[in-house]
Amino acid sequence: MGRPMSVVSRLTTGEATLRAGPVSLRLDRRATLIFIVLCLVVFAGVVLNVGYGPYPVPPPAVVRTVLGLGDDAGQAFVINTLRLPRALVAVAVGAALAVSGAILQGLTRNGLAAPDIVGVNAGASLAAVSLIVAVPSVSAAYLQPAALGGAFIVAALLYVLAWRRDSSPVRLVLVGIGLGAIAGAGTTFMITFGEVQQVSLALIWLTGSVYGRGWDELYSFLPWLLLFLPPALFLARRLNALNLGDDVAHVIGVPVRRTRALLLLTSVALAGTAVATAGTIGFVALMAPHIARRMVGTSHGSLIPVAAVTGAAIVVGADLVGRAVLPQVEIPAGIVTAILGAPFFIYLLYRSRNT
Amino acid sequence: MPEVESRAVSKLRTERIRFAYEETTVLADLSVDVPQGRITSIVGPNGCGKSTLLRAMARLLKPRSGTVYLDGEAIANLATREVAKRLGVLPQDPRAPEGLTVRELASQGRYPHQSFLRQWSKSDERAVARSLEITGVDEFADRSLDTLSGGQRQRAWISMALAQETDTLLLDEPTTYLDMGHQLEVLELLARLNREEKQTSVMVLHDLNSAARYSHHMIALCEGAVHTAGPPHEVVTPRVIRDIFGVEADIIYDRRNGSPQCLPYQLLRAAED
Repeated sequence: MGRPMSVVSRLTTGEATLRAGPVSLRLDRRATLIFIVLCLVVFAGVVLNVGYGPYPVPPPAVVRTVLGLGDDAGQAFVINTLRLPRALVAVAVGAALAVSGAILQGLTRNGLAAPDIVGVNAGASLAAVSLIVAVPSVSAAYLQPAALGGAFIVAALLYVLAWRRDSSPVRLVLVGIGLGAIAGAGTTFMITFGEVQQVSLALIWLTGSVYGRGWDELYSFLPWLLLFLPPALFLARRLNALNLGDDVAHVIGVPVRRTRALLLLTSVALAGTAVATAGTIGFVALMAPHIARRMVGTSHGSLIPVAAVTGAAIVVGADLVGRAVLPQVEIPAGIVTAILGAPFFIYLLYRSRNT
Repeated sequence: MPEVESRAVSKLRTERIRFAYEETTVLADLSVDVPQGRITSIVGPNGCGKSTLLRAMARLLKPRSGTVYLDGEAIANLATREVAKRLGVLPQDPRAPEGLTVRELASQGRYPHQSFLRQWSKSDERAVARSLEITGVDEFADRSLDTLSGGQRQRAWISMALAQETDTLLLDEPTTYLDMGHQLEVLELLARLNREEKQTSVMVLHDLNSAARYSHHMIALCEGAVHTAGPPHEVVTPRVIRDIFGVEADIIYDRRNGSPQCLPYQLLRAAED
């Protein structure tokens, strides 16, 4: 006690340790740097995104207006009411999907796992589309719990069918794709037999887009994010331990079953509510953790935050690209991420063919 | 190795533990004591319940009935983290994720001593440095595990268990899949830990002769029950080997260390024919 705070850094491992009394924190300097850089990238993406459109606003004016320093009421309306919430939804959804994927990949020790690949997102979609079609004029706030329910049903089936005892990565993916196909068929059924008006609403929502998302959607999503992101960070050390195998994790002090349940809950909740907010923006949850792992390695304390900002950057970027390529049509962000992500998934499958 | 077993206090013991997979009984009311400050080997034929016993002691399996006691408390009632502070365990054939370095692995052994606000204290740093040094893996601490030989890798895993700073180590077949030289590397390390640090070790071993040479106490299991327990010269005898392995064997005594060594010569069935 009463010792001065010390900062120890070691060149070989790139770790810095901050110590003050009984508190000691460990920071991977490289990961911290990358995290900060990516935050700046996301910030730049948001500013560009908000400034871009039929009524362009230069970046400095965007920042001024968002901070409430602008004096142009028209500009303030376009930015603060129309464009800013949409960009922030993109950030939140990207981060949630990426963290969900990072947890699922760590938990199943399977680089092919992601909530959209294994059908969790399809389950969430089915539940949300059913709600939109069956209950006209339903509030956005009800979509979250409904999608969450759908996501959990698929997760439970997946657990029972493919993952109770050490199952192979490819089996998990195959069963997940099967469940996703069933949920997809259910969604198609709802769309085919629904009322035209509800169906068109559901279709817009399904494409996976942040189009037309406003403060309402952001505010109904944020509580879920705030509820489930901290446990993800908190459980990072346990996730590292689980990566040594269940037995080793258990003998170094991790309550394996409880931790696994908590992690699965966190991952599915993040994916389900993200889908409820922006539809199925595919492959972000698969790609972001892989990209982050390339940059900072497998330690989840660094991986989870870096994956989160990577995912945010991908969705903000995809939205910007989708709007810029064909301005009259506005390609949904989900289509842009699929164009990038599908080949990436095939590459991962190809690489894992021998395992 | 000392010939006479001292009456060491047992911190780890089992009392009438029973375990079954479906209808097959694996452990039948097994009571064993682990002498403290000694090396104990559990030996016996395939399927006699060696690993099951070790896993029950490590709290990796919950027995159907009976109790495992650690420091006088029922292990089932202790928190997982509390057990991890008192028992270091090396499960059979552990696998590390790709690219994990030796130092990272050893650091994981500090898990039970850490928390969100206590991620890397000075005692963590000391314990990891010490365990890397004792196991002799410090010279390649920053290399990834997949680049090491089998013996080096096994020593790296032991360094993880040592970093937990527990009085007792449990090892499930620590020498399986290793060649002769690498087996000695691991067993010599355990012997040295015992000599210099009074480390208590319990291991499941396949090789009777290694067990006889490196342990003070042996537990021979047969069909889920203790056949004989005691110092090597009481356990490695023609009678015990005939009973549990069904093999006729001669016992000779190693001139260098006095340990009994078994020379099997024929199957019992053949002798009866």
